[in-house]
Amino acid sequence: MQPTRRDIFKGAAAGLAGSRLAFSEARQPPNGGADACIYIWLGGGAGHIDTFDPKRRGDGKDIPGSYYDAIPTAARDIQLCEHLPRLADRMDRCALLRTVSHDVNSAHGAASNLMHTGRKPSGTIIYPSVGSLVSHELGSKSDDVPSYVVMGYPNIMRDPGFLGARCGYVYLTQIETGPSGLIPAPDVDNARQKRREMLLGRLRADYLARNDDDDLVRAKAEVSDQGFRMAGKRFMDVFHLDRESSSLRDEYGSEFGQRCLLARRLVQAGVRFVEVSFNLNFLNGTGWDVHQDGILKQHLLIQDLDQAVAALLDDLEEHKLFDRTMVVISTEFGRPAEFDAYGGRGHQSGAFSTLFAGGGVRGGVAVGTTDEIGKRIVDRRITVPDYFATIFAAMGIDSAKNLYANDRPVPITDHGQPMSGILA
Amino acid sequence: MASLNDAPMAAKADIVSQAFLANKLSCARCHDAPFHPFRQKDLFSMAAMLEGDAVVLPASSTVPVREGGRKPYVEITLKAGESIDPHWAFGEFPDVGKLAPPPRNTSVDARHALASMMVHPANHRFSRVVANRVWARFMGRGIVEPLDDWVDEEPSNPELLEFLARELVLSGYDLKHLSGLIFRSHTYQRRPVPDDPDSPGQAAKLFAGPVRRQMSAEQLVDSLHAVAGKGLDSEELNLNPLGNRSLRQFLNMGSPERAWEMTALSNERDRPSLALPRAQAIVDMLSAYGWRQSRQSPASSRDDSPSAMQSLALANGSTGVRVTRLSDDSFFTRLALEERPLGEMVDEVFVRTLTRFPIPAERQAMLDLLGPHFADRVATAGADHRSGDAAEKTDARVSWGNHFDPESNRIRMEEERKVRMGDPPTTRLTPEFRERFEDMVWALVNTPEFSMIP
Repeated sequence: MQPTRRDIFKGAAAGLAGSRLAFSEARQPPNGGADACIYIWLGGGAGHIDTFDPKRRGDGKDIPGSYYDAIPTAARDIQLCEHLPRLADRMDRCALLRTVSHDVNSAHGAASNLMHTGRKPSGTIIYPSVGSLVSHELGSKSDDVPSYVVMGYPNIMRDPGFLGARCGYVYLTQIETGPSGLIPAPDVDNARQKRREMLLGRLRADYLARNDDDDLVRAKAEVSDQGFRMAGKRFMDVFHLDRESSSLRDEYGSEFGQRCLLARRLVQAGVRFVEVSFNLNFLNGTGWDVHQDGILKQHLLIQDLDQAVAALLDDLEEHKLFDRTMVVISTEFGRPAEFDAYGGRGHQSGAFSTLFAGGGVRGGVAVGTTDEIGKRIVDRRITVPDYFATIFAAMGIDSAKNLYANDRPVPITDHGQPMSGILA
Repeated sequence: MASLNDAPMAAKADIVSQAFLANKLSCARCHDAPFHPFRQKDLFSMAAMLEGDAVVLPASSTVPVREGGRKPYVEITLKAGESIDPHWAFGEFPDVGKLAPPPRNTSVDARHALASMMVHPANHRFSRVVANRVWARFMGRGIVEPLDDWVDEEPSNPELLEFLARELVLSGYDLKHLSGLIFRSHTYQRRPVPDDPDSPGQAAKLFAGPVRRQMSAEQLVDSLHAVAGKGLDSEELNLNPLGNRSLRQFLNMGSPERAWEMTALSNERDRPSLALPRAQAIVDMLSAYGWRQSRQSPASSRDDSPSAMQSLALANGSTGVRVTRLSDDSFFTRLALEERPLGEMVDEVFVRTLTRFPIPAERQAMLDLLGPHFADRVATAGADHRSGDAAEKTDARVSWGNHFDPESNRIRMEEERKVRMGDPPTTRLTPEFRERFEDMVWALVNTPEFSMIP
């Protein structure tokens, strides 16, 4: 058989990479041992200086600084904002990344895209999201559950890009309505669903019998059976949060907390990547995008986050899922120490914080240091590709591996290197 | 690389070349193409034709080469900052190249020149590429594959391709004429030919018959709505329905009537108030079938293999609910209210959904399903609620200016719930009969036969 262009390119790329390959084999990327990831998304740009990287107090007007006091944590030398007391108690199980940095400062959409795909958009290719990449690399744990679930609105930043619809996600925008497409319409009860499937079964059987020599028809029938299994009771039960004790549900707290509880149940059922967005109920009017007077009630968001994530970490441990589930708190950028005319804050992408926990991540560490007002990086800049490479490494995925957009080799991250000191 | 729309005309030139000339210049976006006979300059000189003036290569569209650094694998013959004049780049069509060179500095004229060179009868490439695309659309496979990249591909039947291309030109580029020729052909009318495991791809390549494939996302969504006699009923694709801000800030992509007109919904901030629930229902369905929320790299073909999520989106998604619901504006409601024997109705439903009559066993199954409730199907108290108030449907109370307001969230989340419930069912039929009729329609659109061509 003649080699295709892709074969030639692959061969060439392998030849080129030869010397580097030997190098990278010498220092095997660390493998955190995670087989699932919960990606908590603080859309709008959560201010590091008011959460994970507290500094001296500002006055809300002319003196730049944190909006709240700092408190000590279970990890020596690490402080958090006073509205994160529960996470403070659990800092010995979390790693802070305090110097994540990029240059997309003004546009939420572009920065959110960057913090989901690890790349800036290009004119020639549509990059897949981290969830689609994980889904592509690890596949589903079981045929009966999807590998990638989003709690939030469908959006291009969460999309599979060149990987195609197969690496897409199931999503839900409200917990009580369940995932879009998986549940029969509200007016279709069990008896009616049975009747429908019986009618469909008959039509389908005839069609299959008439076309039993056609691979496409057989494939279509097989995957549709798989789909109906996925919509079956086993997976749908995952969405019944009332199966959990009311005391546990109370521990998780708000609507966002209930999303985190659902995330744990999804991971338990075999989902690989769950994104939980937290910007829906505007406790403060603006979500995390605290311009102007949005900052006045920002502490309500922070307290919500604290309660829900602390409960999630404990619950994952309780279910022996902590060591193989990587929890990430991510956002598109941070916010500056200075205040705007109404006491709120603008955007700051040059230095901001994210958090890792579980999945083999070392606890009690803070990577990177910012200056006395959280503005400039003093020590160790964390690039977006390195940030994603670390997530992939924790999940045992080689972030330098080439995927193919038609013939073009596209490495999983843009030359990202897993950060040292984070994975155990 | 090639980031953030740094050379928009180059992106367009690549699309135009792929669409009409099957010359894929994507690789030439940032360097000379490694597997195509195209230099970066070729793409940018076509870009200059679209621009109507010389274009400058942006630094972000080239590969940086460091002094003493690793020699890049690809060749680079243009430098950032270089200016490239308008020029028809594909010298392999000498007749076309001899046409008057496009004048500079007048974008309209240069674009006209490009357009007239493209469709000039001497440009055999254009007519063959277009004929091949039409053939592929109806037969499931091109005479040349892939459709958009002919660099080292040969037609499986050169005489056929020449014939179709000539017919296209002689008919004055009449796509309907070309389509009619194909529809009337023996090849088109044969049953699809299954693959021979011993020589995979050969039966399809030689057109022993059409190639069976799944409908595209757009074909499926449009077919579903056509079957039900319902419009897409999407919101206007616009995040500022009050229209009080400039078009530069808020694009208005209009109210789509066909699936191809849908766009990305861009609710990247996860705000319920910025959701467009009815458009979202359509986008969900399209996405499951491979449609992408992006037009920046239009594709001539998609991965169209079946997936579990596709079956689910069709079976349970809001689009399926709406299409199968017997509301007052449904074709099926009108049919069910007619004074006709049940058997005729069943026949008509089969013809409408599967373009064939039921086989006896199928007809009997549907008679068993509907028969017991048929005689009393008309509800005496029911009224026609078709006269829907447009304002009731699109809630213009929510706009960009007030989307932070919790009330805006509440309104849109309520709309989301309504969409999930589907159109209100007709009250002119008894619920027992209506539900059974809906179940029949549901089964017919969910059988694989519905979404397969042919």
